[in-house]
Amino acid sequence: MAGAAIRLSGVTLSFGGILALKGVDLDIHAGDIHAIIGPNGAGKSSLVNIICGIYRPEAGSIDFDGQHLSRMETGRLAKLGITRTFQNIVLFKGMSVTQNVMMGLTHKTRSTPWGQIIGSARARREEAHAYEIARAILARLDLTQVQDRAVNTLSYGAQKRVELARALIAGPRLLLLDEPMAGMTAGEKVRMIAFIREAQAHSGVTVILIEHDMGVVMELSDRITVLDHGKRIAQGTPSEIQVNPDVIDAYLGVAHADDGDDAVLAA
Amino acid sequence: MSSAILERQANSQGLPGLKSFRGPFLVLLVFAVVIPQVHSDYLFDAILTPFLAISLAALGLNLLTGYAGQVSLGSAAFMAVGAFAGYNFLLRIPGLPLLAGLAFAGLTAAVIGIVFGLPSLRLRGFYLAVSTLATQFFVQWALTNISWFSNDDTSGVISPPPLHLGGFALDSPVRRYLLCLGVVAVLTFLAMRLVSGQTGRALIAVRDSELGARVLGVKVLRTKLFIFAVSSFYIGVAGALWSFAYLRTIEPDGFDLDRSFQILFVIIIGGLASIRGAFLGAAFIVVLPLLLSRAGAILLGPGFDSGLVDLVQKIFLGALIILFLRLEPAGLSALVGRLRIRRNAT
Ligand SMILES: Nc1ncnc2c1ncn2[C@@H]1O[C@H](COP(=O)(O)OP(=O)(O)O)[C@@H](O)[C@H]1O
Ligand SMILES: [Mg+2]
Repeated sequence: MAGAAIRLSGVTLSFGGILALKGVDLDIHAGDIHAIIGPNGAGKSSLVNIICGIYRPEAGSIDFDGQHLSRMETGRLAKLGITRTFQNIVLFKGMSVTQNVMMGLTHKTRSTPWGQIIGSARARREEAHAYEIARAILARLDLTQVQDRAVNTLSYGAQKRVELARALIAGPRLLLLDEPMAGMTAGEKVRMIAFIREAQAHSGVTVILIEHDMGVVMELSDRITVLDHGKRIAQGTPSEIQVNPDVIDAYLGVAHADDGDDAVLAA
Repeated sequence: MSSAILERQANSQGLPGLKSFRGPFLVLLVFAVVIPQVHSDYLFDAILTPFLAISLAALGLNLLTGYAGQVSLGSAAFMAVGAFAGYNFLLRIPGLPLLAGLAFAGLTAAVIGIVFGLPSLRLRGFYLAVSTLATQFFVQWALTNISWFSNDDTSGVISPPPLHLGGFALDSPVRRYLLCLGVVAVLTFLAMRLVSGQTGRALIAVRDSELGARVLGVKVLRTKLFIFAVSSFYIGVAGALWSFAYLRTIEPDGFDLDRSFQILFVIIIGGLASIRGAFLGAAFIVVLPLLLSRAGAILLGPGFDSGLVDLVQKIFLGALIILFLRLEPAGLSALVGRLRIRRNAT
């Protein structure tokens, strides 16, 4: 269950004539926490959506875990061991926290609907197992207090954690986190960082992390890819990225008075 | 307010133990043992039997629309398919037991449901609703114009065969009611089991976020077609019960768009994604008008204008529906849930 490597080569994507990604290469090592940074609209989420097969690239290819693919199939992601969270939280609001997390085991279900209705041995075993490990992962992420609540009654930060729990429950090999800490308080961020670290250390899962907070990025990531206007402008370790002149020009250096990235970077 | 409702709904969906069947079982006991002691043909023929048939249809629609989020305006069409299929199976296969006839009625409706559920793979919400409207008109057209379905009977009104269960003739209002009760009880139990497990969660996932569901490995297309089939099965059986046990005639006319809307109102009033809601809503929509017209007859005396009462009734019902949607969007089911929680707390 160790982390998987993924490589994207020459990925190009456009929306109605607007190029969102221009021949992007992305090389992610197994077991790394790999951050993707760049200003809004740079194409970070699009890249993740391509890995998930939600967007179809016009050109380029993907190598995942030794398989060469021209595009991913969304329905097979979970089986491949790829899970994700979404920039705009995607939870099932009609379900409790525990049920949402249990959904993360969908692809492992072997029992049939009929088996579930009559309560076959397999269906009962699967249900009990899913319930049990959902409770365990919720405890790990400090969500035990709210585990039976309707998921949409939770705070924003807690919902983001539920999404993480759902992504972690099946023991993924590649975890895609699209701005998992956006909108969180400083305290929540600290805990989220600890959770991601712990998950990574626990299973060796490869993590792709999209994040705006440079402090978080520099602290968490092994390697960083910088996107700007759909182009990869740099890739390297945090210390390389911090001193990369292109990055400073295009992204870090320009006045980002709104989010205070400079201050964080300088610190 | 509504978040509190959802919270309780979610709570009640924890790991289902047999305990959660205790309440429904007690209700069933009352309906199966106590109520049949009442000597009133009117109660069974005019109130309880149609109530059960509509409840079952609403339960079927609630699986599709409430749980899986696929809006349908074709419920009456599937009722009609069930009614005519049941009739034809029993007519053309001599000696076919009644329950097998009902099962075939449901299966036929399920097959038609899959066919007419295919647009759901591409269409959503309003557009899907419109496409199910096509089902409604097509089925009614086919049943009216293809005389084979009505055994080439030209009167347009055909009678179901006499109903037997084993050697037992279902020839009284109470017995027909008990047939309906038995069928509805079994199917309700199965539905409760279905929605409380992995498949039930997959349905809600498809409703709440198709993308999220797909990413997690839910086979969205298969899930949709599955629930179209199950829902149509339920509604088909409901249609057969409606025709065989309640109307005791089989005709396409009663299964029109009005009926489809009626079933939809039942689940909106009763509560979407709630098994109990289908029954509460049916009680409200089916039984209340009957009580109202009785009350009208008593209040106004024998010479009352039935057309006027009808109109007043519709306005009254319409106003109640609007009131409900404003005050209790989660339906009667949530209301009852709250009352129970209050009672348990005191
Ligand atoms: N579904 C979509 N339809 C149209 N344009 C899109 C869509 N998704 C992304 N884009 C466009 O692609 C570009 C990159 O977007 P995105 O990948 O969301 O950037 P980021 O996540 O880095 O902020 C933006 O110009 C955005 O407007
Ligand atoms: Mg984004």
